[in-house]
Amino acid sequence: MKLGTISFALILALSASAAFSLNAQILNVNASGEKLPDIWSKRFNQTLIKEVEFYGPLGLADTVSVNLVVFKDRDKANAYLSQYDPMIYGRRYSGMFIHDTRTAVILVSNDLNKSLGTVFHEISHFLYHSVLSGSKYPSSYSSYCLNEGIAEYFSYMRVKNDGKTVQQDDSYALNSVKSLIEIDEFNLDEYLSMGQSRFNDKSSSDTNISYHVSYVIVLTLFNKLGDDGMRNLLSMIKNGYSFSSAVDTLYPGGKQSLDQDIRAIASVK
Amino acid sequence: MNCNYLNRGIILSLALTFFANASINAQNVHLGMTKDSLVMVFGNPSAAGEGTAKSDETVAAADDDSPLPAYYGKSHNLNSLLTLQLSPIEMSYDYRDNTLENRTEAILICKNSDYCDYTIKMSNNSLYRVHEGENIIEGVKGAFRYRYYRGNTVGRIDVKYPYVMPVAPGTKVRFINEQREYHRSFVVLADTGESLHAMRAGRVCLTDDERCILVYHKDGSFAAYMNVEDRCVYPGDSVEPGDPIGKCGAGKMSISLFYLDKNKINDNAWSYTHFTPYFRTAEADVKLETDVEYVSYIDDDIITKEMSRLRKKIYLHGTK
Repeated sequence: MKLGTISFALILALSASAAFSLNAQILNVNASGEKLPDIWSKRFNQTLIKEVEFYGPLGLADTVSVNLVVFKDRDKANAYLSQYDPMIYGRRYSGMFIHDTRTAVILVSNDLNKSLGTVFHEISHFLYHSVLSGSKYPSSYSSYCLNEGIAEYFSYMRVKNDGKTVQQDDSYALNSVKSLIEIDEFNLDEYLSMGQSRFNDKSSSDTNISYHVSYVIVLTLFNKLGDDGMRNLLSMIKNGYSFSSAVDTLYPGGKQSLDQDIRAIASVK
Repeated sequence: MNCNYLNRGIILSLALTFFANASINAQNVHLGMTKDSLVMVFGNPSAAGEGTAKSDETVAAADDDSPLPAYYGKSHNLNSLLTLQLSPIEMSYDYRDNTLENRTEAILICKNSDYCDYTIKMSNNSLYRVHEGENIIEGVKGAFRYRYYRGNTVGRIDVKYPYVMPVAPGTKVRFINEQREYHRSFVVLADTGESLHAMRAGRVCLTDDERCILVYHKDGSFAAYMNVEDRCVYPGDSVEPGDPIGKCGAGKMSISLFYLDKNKINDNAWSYTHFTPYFRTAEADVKLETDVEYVSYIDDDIITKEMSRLRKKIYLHGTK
């Protein structure tokens, strides 16, 4: 299926510091397909700026471009995606990132906030792979849970007027992990070393649980390490550490302490 | 190990070909406290076709070139087990004091014609457990709407409770993950036509699908048996562990153990937690592992575990 091409470009936002910087970071989002709702515009800008601010110092190229293709109709989305994945018709998804063409495909639902979260999720994958490409270990091999967890983290992010961020609408994810702990099936090590195949298998047959767990792991990491610490963690992975060993090295008290903190975060909700 | 942080400004450039068009469907309007204006929001919110379901899609999807295998075939039955075409819950209301000035508090009369508990969630987020038969909910004030869920949230689920494997004692059996279901379920690798047995004592609930059996357990958990042929138990029947309930159907029979989860009761998402059962074997109670061969085993202890003292006495006397 052919989609409409880009008709014009518009600079939506320019951070204050950019005016004084000779080294501006530019993210081009080439959007096509269904029209996006107006109410997305503000949050769209705010959150993407936060994403670029996070990934930028990790070696993101000065100008990066990503395609965003938006569908409302699942059949049309399936038809479009089937050129990349003929098996798409049997799968559940609300968004997908295609590496070869640097395209984030979004299937908009009635829940617009959730759909916008999916945009941030997929663009995070683009930026994650942009900064980790060329790393010693393929990111999808050693840190799949981190990749998905950060994407989820941005999907739940809201930027307040003062520029600070909060995580919203994440109670279902937190409560899912709480329940997993209650039934004695939370295993941090399993997720820290989980590959893509296992991740997807588990998620597609257990109510998205691997996305929820990844999010709570990353949320806990952000809470303790902050943005700088998370960038250090990604740098370690870029330099050949596995996610598991990077966490054990960087997180105060190691993995055991992370496990305890996750249990505490999940039980608060 | 420190990153090299650059002082950068950020420009987001968005090439636009669109904007507009999407709207949020308002779910329910304000309701007056009259019979006509009570809104019945049926069944589990994940059910399609009620106008309230949002989505049970994955939050995001595969992020790689190598696709997941897609799973085809009929098995997507869990949704149908938790939702019913016909409402098992009938609601009506009355007033303690029927004088006009005192009609500030209503009594809800809730009739549950199913054989398991339901949980009513009112619009103020309060939860009520509704047993089989007639139930009274007192002190309802003002306008409201409600939603109901199959199951109860007050039971304490012991996920290590031992279950009997769902095939005849002595039969070799293996389990694999049921990839055709979105919620944790296991395919029972048994021959088509193999005798199917109840895993735990409970009551058979209403379902729309003849090939699906749903059993409600004493602790509030459910066992779903999907793709069953020649069923021999029907809604309202009581079953004991090891009782024959039908035969394994063609197209792979699967099971799922789950409960309504108070942590996850949510209008727009799946409200149940599915767990991996412990099975009794001749050696010990073991947590189900996929791709491991087991031999189905049953003993008096597991059969009588949830019997009353009197029934247990009668059963044990009868087996001597």
